[in-house]
Amino acid sequence: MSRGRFFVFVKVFFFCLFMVISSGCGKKESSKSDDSAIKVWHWMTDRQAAFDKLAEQYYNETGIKVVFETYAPTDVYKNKITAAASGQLLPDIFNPLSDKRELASYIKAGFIANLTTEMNAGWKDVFFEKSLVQNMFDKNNEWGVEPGYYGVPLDVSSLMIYYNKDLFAKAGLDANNPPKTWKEFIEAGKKLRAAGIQPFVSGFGESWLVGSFAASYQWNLFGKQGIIDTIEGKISYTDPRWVRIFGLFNEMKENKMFASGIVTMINKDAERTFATGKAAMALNGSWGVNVYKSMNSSLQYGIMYPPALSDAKYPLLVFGGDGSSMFVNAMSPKKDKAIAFLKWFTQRQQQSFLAKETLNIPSNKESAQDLPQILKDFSKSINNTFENLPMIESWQVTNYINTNLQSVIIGEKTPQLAAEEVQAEKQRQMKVRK
Amino acid sequence: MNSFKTKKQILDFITHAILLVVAVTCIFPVFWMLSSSLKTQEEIFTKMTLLPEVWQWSNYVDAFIKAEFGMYFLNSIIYTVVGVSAIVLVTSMAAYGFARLEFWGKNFLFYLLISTLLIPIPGVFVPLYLLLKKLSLLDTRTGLLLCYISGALAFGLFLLRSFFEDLPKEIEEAALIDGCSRFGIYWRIALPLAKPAIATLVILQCLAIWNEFLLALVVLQDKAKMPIQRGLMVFQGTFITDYPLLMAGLTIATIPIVIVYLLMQKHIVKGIAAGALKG
Repeated sequence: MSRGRFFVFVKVFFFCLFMVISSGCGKKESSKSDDSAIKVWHWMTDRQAAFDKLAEQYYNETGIKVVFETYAPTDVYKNKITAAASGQLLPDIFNPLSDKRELASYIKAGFIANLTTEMNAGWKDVFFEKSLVQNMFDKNNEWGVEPGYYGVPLDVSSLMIYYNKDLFAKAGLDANNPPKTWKEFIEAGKKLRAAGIQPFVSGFGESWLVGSFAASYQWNLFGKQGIIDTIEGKISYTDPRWVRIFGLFNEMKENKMFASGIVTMINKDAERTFATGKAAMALNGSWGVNVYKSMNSSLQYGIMYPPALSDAKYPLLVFGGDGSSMFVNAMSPKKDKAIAFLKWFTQRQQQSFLAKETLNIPSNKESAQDLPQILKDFSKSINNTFENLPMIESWQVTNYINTNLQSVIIGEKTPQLAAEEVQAEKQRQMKVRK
Repeated sequence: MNSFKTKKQILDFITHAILLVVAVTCIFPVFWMLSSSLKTQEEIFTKMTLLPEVWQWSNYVDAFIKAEFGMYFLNSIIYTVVGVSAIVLVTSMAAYGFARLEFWGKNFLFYLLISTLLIPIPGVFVPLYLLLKKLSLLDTRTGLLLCYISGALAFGLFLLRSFFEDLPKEIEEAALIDGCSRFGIYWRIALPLAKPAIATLVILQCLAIWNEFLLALVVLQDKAKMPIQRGLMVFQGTFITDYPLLMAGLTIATIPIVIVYLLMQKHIVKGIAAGALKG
C-alpha cells in the first residue's frame, strides 16, 4: 500500500471519527435529553403519532412535557426494559410486558409503584373493572406482593370469533344469527365445508391462541374454583371434563373445520386468510378490527362468542381484559407527575381520541360509548373475560397443554392420551415444586 | 461423438434449469419487495398480481418523510464507515500479531476470543448495558460503535489470521533485511496481500452494521442517533404492518449496501474462496 493511500485511509477514518465526536458523545450527548420531561416507553410504534398528539395537548394544557418513545418488535422492547431495569435506568412510565410472575418480581424489586391510593380515590371508577384486575394483586397472591393496583390500562381487548357474513350466506347460513352453542357451531362448520369454504382459522401456531380458546371451555366446564383446584393439583388433567376439552378440538378436526396448516400458522397469516375471504370464521382479538380494515376494507363481518357447551355448569368466559397497561416507575423522581399524566391520559376525551385513531377499545368505559358498532360489541364482552386468579399454572404445564392441543388437531394424539401426558407433566412439576 | 454431445447438452440443460430455479428463488423476494413498494396496502392483500394496478410512486416519498430517513441515513453511514474502518484496522493488526508474533498464551487468547462467536447478541444485552452505563457511554454513538467493533473482532480475527499465516515468510524476511519495521511489514506487505480477505470482511461487516438494530435499540434512546433500521420500524406495528411503505423503505435502505457489494464484488468471491480453503 502506497504512502498516499495510507494517508487517504487515515484521513477518511479520522474525518468520520470527527463526525461522531462532533455530533456528540459520552456525557455531553446524554445531557442533550430533556430531564424534566416525563419519559414513556411503549411498544406499539403504530401509535406514535396519536401519542405525540396527546403529549402535545398535555404540554399545552399543563406546560409539562411528555416524551413517548416506541420500540418494536415487542421482544426488543422487552430486552430494553430488562437491560434498563438492571441498570436502574427505567423510564418514568413503562410496561415490562411480562406474565404475573415476572410482574411480581418487578414490583418486589421496587421498580413499579403501587397505585392503590390513587385508584381508590375514584380513578378506578373510570375503567372497565376487568381491565384492572389483571394488573392487581389479591391478598393471598402466591408471589407475596403487597395487595393493590399496579397497572393503568390504556385500552382493553378480548378474544372472540369473527365470522364472514358473505361466506355464511353463501353456505346457506343465517349471517345475522351466528352459532351460539357448540352443536350449532359444528353444524355451521359442516355446511361451510360442504360449500367448499374453510370454516375456521386462527393463529394456532402461536400456542397462546390455541390455549386461550381451550381456556374458554375450562371456564365453561370447571368455573373459577375448579381451575384453582386444577392448578393446586386437586383436580387431575385426566378428569373427564379435561378429556372433553381436548375432545372438542378432535371434533373440530373430525368435521374438517380447521383451515389447512392451522397448527403452524402465525396469527398474521390467519388474519390474512380471514381478511381475503379464505376462511369463514376466525378466532382473533379486538385488534383485528383495525387489522381487517387495513387489509380489506370491504370485508363484511360480525363477531360472536366462542359457542358455549349447552350442558356446562359455568358461564363461558373469553380471554381478554387489559390490552396494554402502563406502570409507573416507583424510583422515578417524577413519579407524581407521571401518575398525574396517566390520570389525564385515561380521561374520556383522551381515550376517545386514542380509540378513534387506533380502532381499539379504550379502557375508559365511558369512551366506549363513542366507538363504532363492532367495537361497541367487543366492549360488551370485556365483562365476560377471564377472572383474576390468585395463582397461575406453571409454564411447563401450560406448554404441555398447548402442544397437546396442537397434537390433537393434527391427529397425532387422542384426547385421552393428550390429557394423560399433561397430567404426567403436572405431576413432574408438582414434584419439582415440593 | 454425437452421444457425447447429446449427453453434454442434457447436462447443460439440467444445470441451467437448476440455476434458473435458484436464480428465480433469489430474485423473486427482491421483485416482490419492489412490486409491493408500489402498491396500496389493500392491493397487496386482496389482489395477488405481480405488478401494481396503479403505480404508487408516492410511497417512496411518504416512506422517506414518515420514517425520517434523512437523519437515520446519515447515522447509518457514520456507523458503517467508522465501524468498518475500525474493525478492519483493529482486527487486521490483531490477526497479524496472532499470525506472526510469538507471545505467552497466544493460542489460548486466540481461541478465547474466537469462542465469543458462540454468544448470541441478546445474551449480552444486560452486561453490555451495565458496562456502557459505568463508562457513561449509554445512549452515545461512541458506545454503540464500540459494541459493533468488539462484536466483530472474533470473526475478523478468524478470517484474517489464517490469511496472514499463509503468506510467504520470505517476503517479510527480505523486507526486514531491507530495514523495514514490523509495522511497516504489516502495513506495506501483509495488508495489501490480504486485500481479498479484507474485502470480504468489509462487505460482511457493512451488511452487519447497516442491518443491525437490536443493539442500537437497546443502547440508544435518543431518536436522533438511531440507525436506518429504526426508521423501518415505524411501519411495523404490533398488529398492523404498513407493507407498501415498509417495502419502499426497505428498497431505499438496500440501495447503499447494493452499491458497496457491486464495488467490492470481484474481491469477495476470491476472499470467501480463499478463506474457505485456508480457514
